[in-house]
Amino acid sequence: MKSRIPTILIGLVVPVSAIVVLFPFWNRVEPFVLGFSFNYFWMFLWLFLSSGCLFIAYKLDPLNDEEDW
Amino acid sequence: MALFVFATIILASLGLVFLARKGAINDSMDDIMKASGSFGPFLLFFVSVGEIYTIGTLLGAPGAVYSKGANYGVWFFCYILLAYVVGYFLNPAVWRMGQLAKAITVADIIGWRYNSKALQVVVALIGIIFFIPLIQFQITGMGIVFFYLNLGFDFTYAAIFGAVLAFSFIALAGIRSSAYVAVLKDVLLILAVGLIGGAAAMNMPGGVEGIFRTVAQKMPQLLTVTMEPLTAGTTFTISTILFQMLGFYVSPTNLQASMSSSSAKNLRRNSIIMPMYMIMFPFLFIAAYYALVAITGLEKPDYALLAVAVKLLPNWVVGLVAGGAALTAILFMAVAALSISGLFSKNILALIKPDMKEAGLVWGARAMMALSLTAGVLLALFSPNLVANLLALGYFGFTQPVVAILFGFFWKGATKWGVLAGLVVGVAAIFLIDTVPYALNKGAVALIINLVVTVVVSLLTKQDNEVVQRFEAYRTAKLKIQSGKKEASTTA
Repeated sequence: MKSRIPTILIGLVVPVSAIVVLFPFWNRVEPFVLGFSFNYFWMFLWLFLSSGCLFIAYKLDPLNDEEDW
Repeated sequence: MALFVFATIILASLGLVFLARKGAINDSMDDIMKASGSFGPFLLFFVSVGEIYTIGTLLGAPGAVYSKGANYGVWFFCYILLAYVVGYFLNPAVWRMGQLAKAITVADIIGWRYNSKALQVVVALIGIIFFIPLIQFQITGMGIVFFYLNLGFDFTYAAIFGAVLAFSFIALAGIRSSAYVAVLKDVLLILAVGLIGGAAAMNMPGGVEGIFRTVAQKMPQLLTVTMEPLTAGTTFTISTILFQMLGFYVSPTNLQASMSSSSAKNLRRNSIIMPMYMIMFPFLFIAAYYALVAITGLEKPDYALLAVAVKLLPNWVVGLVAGGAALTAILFMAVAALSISGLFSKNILALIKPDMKEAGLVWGARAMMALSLTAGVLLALFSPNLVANLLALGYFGFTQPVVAILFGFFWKGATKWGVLAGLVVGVAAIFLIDTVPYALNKGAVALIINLVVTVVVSLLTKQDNEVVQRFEAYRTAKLKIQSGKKEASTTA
């Protein structure tokens, strides 16, 4: 059976780290990006990136290849 | 005009419920509570998003930003986002154990895994007690919408009307009604919030950047989470994000939605698009920060979003907002009452009267739906403040079973006494702890206590053989599936 570790890394560890671990770095006003202060830009960016991470995780996930229920 | 748009929306929702009745089996608990596990990707998406955004999201998130800025706004957004990420892994696992347990409710799953009726009852009671205040909260929220938008109804009628509508949804088509009505509700909600946020940006010189620059100049303390000292906002923000992202999918309503899936794979696929549905949050935040700089001195912070709508948008859009908000409240009430009734009928009534037939349980569930909605209305009308305290504790409370669920997947050694003691002590801690160290989230502290007690008591008590077998059954069911055999699926 293939390992599920890459799935867990990209699907769980990356998004949680981006929000929680990096919090002290993104909790700031400058620079403004797309009209938002940096903290809100970062949060809204991860709305899309989390989806992307889960998409990659889904593609890598060995459970999806081997079960169909 | 606003009233006309509003009435059309409500009628349309009833029409959808009649569509939802197709295929519904009205005398089966399994069908009422989880649509016999028949939902494919499309309906699964709507039933799961339909229960996530309550009237608390719609009014509460902008209200919190209006009064407390980023110290409230940031955790609110981040925990939901990360809950979806956690859900990708958690939901299929819960679903699979639900199949083995032939479960309808969360209490079924935990009760089966630890082979304990007492545990089943405790989990059911926790769900019921901490969820009824949420029904009351929806009604109060609906009252705020009707009052502020001045649609011309009396609050008493609005409350009764909302509860009756919620009851008809679930009495007519069970959880199926939720999925169908959610399609309409979510389209309306995204449209309304998008219009309000868009109008806010267009009415401010400099657009979105103008709004955020003004906040940065005039009230910078509301734009970012306070970091000095750490206990002024950071510790609370981080502990709340971590605690609530774990607890999110354990809420009785969200779990009920997961169980309606026709497969584990659907749940995973669904998780991919869930974060995108948060697209309304940028608009909510834009509107909230606009209100902060352009509409000062609101009587209640919860009026913030509605105040922007009334100030900037034509009357018919206000009707749209009212319709979307009312449907949100009604739909959430409906599913909350449904989940409560399942916990009552399946996990309490069926134990008191073991010889009861399925039809009896269905009637028991219906009675509980009516009762919990009535309780919500009465509380909202006569003592709105009585349970305000309990509501604040709601999330802390119904999240506690997450320890039992996670150990259910990973730890062979967890005993029923350990889990039971952890749950009881965890819930008690919520009521007993007065001041929380380092300004952490109280629920997170209770969860840690719950975890420690579960481990210690499990190590001190004797493990039941049946519990070990069920743990193995779950692990091997997974192995069987992974090697391509499908025996385990016959339990569906």
